[in-house]
Amino acid sequence: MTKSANPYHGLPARSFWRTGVAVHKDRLIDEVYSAKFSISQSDNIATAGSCFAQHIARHMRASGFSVLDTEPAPKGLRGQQFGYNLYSARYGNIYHARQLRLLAEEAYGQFEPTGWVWQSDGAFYDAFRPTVEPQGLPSLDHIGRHRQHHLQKVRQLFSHMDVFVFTLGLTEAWLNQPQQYVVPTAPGVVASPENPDDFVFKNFRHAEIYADLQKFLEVVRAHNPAFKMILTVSPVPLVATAGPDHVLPATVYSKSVLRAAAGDLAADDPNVAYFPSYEIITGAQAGGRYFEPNLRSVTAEGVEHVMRHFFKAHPQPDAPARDGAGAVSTLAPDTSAEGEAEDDDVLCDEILNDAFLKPGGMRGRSDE
Amino acid sequence: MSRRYCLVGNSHLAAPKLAWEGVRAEYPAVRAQFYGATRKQLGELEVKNGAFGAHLRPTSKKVSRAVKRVSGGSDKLKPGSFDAVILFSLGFNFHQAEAIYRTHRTLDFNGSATAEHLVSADCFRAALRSLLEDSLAVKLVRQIRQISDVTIMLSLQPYPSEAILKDGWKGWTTLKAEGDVGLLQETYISAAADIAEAERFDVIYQPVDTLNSEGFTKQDFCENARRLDLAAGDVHPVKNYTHMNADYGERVLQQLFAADAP
Repeated sequence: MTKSANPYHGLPARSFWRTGVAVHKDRLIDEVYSAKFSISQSDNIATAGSCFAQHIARHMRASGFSVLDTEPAPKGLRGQQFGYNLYSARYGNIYHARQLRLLAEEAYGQFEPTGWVWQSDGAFYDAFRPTVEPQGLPSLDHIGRHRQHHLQKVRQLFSHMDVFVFTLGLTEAWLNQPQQYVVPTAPGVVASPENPDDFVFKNFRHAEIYADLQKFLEVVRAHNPAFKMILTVSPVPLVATAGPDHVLPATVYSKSVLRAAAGDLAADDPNVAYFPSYEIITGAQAGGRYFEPNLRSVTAEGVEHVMRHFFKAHPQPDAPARDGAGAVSTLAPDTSAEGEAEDDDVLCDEILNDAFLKPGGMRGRSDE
Repeated sequence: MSRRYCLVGNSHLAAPKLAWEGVRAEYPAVRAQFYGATRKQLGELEVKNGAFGAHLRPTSKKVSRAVKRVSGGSDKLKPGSFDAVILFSLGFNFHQAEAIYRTHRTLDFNGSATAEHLVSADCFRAALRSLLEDSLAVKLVRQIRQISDVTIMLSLQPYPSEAILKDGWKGWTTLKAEGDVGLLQETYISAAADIAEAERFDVIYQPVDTLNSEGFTKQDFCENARRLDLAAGDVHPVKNYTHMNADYGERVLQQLFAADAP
């Protein structure tokens, strides 16, 4: 092969580690992300996913994008109480592709789960979003009607969004075996199902995640053919693993599978893009400096850095007025000012698993 | 035994202030000091500990002038000089509950089926409590509590006049049409009681004989309601449904003097 036939010859700087990464260090890495499609000021954006997605939603709102909120908080409610002001509907954290897919199927009447009403101290909980009502609801009737109302709002959201930003969080899940749905917290953490034995631990594989995401696209596109999706992978490590491996390889496995599934879908589908927030935070160039001392939480600086990359590719519309939170309406873009939350904390149901960490440092698994 | 009261309020202070001029002869043992300005102006008070003792005072000359016009001279509020400080309205009102109800309702409301957004009772209460806690009334309670254990009473803002329904104000006519006035008022009263307990003040509820059977203020008490700043020499517009007249003020004074009788 001649020098001129060398397949690396003439490639842009971004293709080489030295010029693409090593020389940048503290700066934005050129072309680490190129927009596959543009986002205009009039595009209705919806957000969902694991807790890291809350950062993305918050920054997009603050930057003047039209981020939808079909379940806005009642006037006066502070911060993120009762699961408000987190995402574009009140579905709480959606860690798994399966969870997202079945939410869409349920919203459009293609899936009817059973066994999702869990109980604790006489109160009833929605297992798909167990923390949105901290004290639960008082009756089966209440929980059923609240879920139907939520699904109506999700349906509105999915049918009207132009761009859906979804952050994949976990492969490890608690699976309802009879119906193959997953829930964001293990049975017993917030409340307990009627038949605990129906729920088993499952670590989703690449093919399953890819298929779930494809099915989600298919279900929603039947009602909203033109919407586009931006996938990201949460850089936040697992708070705990229920599998046999150490939590470090378990985390790397989980993130690798999610990253691969997202990348493959983005490669295969012209209306799906992948945004590398995961790489920006966890890559060697970051040297770990975007993690808090617990080596898990992402620093505000890290989030800012990620969003600078995002906004470089998707220029920000004019930022909204700080008092832009007007009357809420079903599909009014959520222009509530950045900082509705009193701090930059994100709410993670997954962190509840930390409650099972024994004082000696060993996770309190039932087989220990 | 004499009783010394400091009556503090925004525009809603006008009703008891006008009433006092007419009834003071009936209460020879009562000394009433009025301290008022607009809600925005009263929000600019600060706590001071000086030669005058612990007190609240305006942070600007403009507010000082406004307060002096109402008080007849002093711009300082020294809680320790009174047997009780009585706050009037100051943003602590039923409108906050109605504002939530417009968009968010619980299944307990008859109007839940037409609600734009369904919320739990816990969530509704938390939102309402938050709005009421953000009121100027609660801010002043907290400022007074920094420097005094004096008895504090809050006379709740009157419910809107029944004319608001005839004039077709949408939020209120909806509330009435859905049959949810009573439950929403119960929710509001419950929130007020919870906050009063937490913040250590007493609630003076609207005199029952000023309400019609639907829970709105009888229109008679709204006729010719005067503005607080009498220098303006004005009455409130006809379509002002929230400010009451001296007759109303008299009922309120009778009630609170009775409530605080030694």
